[in-house]
Amino acid sequence: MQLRLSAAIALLVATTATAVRADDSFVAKTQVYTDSDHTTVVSPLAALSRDAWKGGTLSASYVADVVSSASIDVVSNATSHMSDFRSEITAGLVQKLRNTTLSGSYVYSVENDYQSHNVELGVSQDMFEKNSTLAIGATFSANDVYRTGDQAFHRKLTVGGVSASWTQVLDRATIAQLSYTFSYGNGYWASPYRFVRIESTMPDDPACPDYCFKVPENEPNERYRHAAVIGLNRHLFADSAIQGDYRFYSDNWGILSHTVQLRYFITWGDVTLRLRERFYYQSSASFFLPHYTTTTVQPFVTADRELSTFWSNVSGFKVSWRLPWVHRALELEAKVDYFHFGYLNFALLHSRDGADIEAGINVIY
Amino acid sequence: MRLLALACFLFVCSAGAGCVRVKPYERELLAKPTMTFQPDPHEDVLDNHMLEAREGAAGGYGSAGGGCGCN
Repeated sequence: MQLRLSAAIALLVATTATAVRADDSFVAKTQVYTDSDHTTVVSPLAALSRDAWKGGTLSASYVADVVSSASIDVVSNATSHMSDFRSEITAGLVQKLRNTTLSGSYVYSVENDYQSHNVELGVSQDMFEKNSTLAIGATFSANDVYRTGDQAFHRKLTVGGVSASWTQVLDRATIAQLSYTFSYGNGYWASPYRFVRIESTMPDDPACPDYCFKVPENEPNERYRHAAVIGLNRHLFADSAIQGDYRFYSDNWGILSHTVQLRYFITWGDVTLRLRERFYYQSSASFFLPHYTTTTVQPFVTADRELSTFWSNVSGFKVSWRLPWVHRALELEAKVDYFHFGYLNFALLHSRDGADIEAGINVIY
Repeated sequence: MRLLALACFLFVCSAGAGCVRVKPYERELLAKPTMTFQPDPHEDVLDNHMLEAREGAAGGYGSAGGGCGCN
């Protein structure tokens, strides 16, 4: 009797698994980043997703970053060139229960001088006949920072965050989303390789012909970060859609930033074209100075251009091509984004141009 | 203060939501893949990781993976 029951349960599970395993997917893509600051990053990605049981989806992915750089950060510290390799493994679970979706993921990232563990948990609830969705989430990240060639150097950085978003159907062709994230980090934010030049207050000072001395970069341990995003998706004529979003960001280091992004999608048969335009501006951190002098030395000093005042622009396109005659859900994609960064008060670099090129394949089986 | 802001956020959203009821059979356009806010989450992970390593701002657009990426 017990054997029959077990067999029946096994048959039921197998039947259910076969019935719901309609959306298993495989994604592989490679992104190449290259810029005029002599940095190239090749990032291959492979991801698997499997409908493992009723409403339950398991996923796993691997990303690598192969970095080669002779950027101003590298050469200004008397190193001609650096290379690095980062591996990132992600495992995730999503469980759908009627109008509620639970999700969790773990990310492990390792490179020769940096290691991090990240956990994300989330829950979303559909409401008002699925016209509204409330999602909340929490993240925790533990990071260990090392310095190549210095066995004694070890610093820690921990970051925790919460997020909330509201997605709202506005009419038959329009969806809006409002989201907010807050994070608090405590630990070592600086780069162990960056040193800050302290110059003399007198020009052409014979005692300090180039600069007086260098000190290790030092940034505050605590960082509170707020980001709020409002987005709108609107289906337009024929088979096209436009998406726009705006992000406001601020933190306790004094950085304020504005990001505006527009994406336009148009589909002709099996081909979808996406055009993208993104504009970003930020003010510098309160302790950032283009030049530190012997009289302006302060507790926190940085040579990080990401903390300076700058703007950037990304423009590009992406083409996705479905091949139903090869497989019912096979898709190839290619993307090219061109970007420009304009640094307004960073002494060592005034601009950076580059491209982000990607090719990939998606299969649902 | 933050709890109050969150409560106001939820109140405004839910008050607005009560006015809109699009029936399931009216969602043909909304169901298209291009109408989702994250049509390609894997691309977003790569993009966000690249951008967050090169900008002072972070957050608001979902996960950016782990690690430094700061070179």
